[in-house]
Amino acid sequence: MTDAVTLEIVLEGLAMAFALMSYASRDNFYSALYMCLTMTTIAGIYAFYGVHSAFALITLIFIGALGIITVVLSYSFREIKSIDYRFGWIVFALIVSFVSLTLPNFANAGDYVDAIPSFEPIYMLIALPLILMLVLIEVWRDGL
Amino acid sequence: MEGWALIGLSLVLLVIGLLMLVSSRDLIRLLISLEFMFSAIFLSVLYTLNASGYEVLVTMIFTSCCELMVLVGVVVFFSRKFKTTSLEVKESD
Repeated sequence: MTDAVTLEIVLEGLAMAFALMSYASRDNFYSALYMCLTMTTIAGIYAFYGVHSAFALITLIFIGALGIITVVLSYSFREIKSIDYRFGWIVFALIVSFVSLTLPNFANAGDYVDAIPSFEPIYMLIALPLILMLVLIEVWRDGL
Repeated sequence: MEGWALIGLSLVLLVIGLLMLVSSRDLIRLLISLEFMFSAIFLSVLYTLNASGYEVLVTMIFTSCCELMVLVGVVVFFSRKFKTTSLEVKESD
């Protein structure tokens, strides 16, 4: 079994596992998070087959926009509000965005892994929706 | 072999989306189930993707995005009116 086949099986298995976890989860917030992870692995399958434009579209539109709106909606109407998101999560998002901007200089792996770090703004694009989501949660909950 | 795996995965996602749809008692869960079903369709398109299929894929992505945004708008207006996203009818109502 080649590495490519193994990678494909892992991606498809992850997509199936995340989808099942999303279905099994009773909490809408975690269900939405698992849905985002499923969409991420589906975008990964597109990238695996070399359709990078579809990967970008699915990542930015379905995960970056719709997925985040779903997460925000589900968190806003969550009955168990136990996550302290106000400060810690913003610091976490900023650290992730900083590390991911500096990480590509040290990356040294296979061709596919090399191809992603060469497009450095994608890390900032992934980190920005995370920060945007935190702000949206705050605004949405204050408005309720 | 690869194509069958993709079709199988898209079928599984479609079934999960349908199960979630019929068992949902909440608008947000309905939204999640629709996103699962759209992702299943995207995967099935990947199996038949060729040079001219890319335009179809982009059109599908933007069309489904618009449909989901309409549902998001419905969720927002529903929640503003009823102060909840639950679809269950209470005894007092």
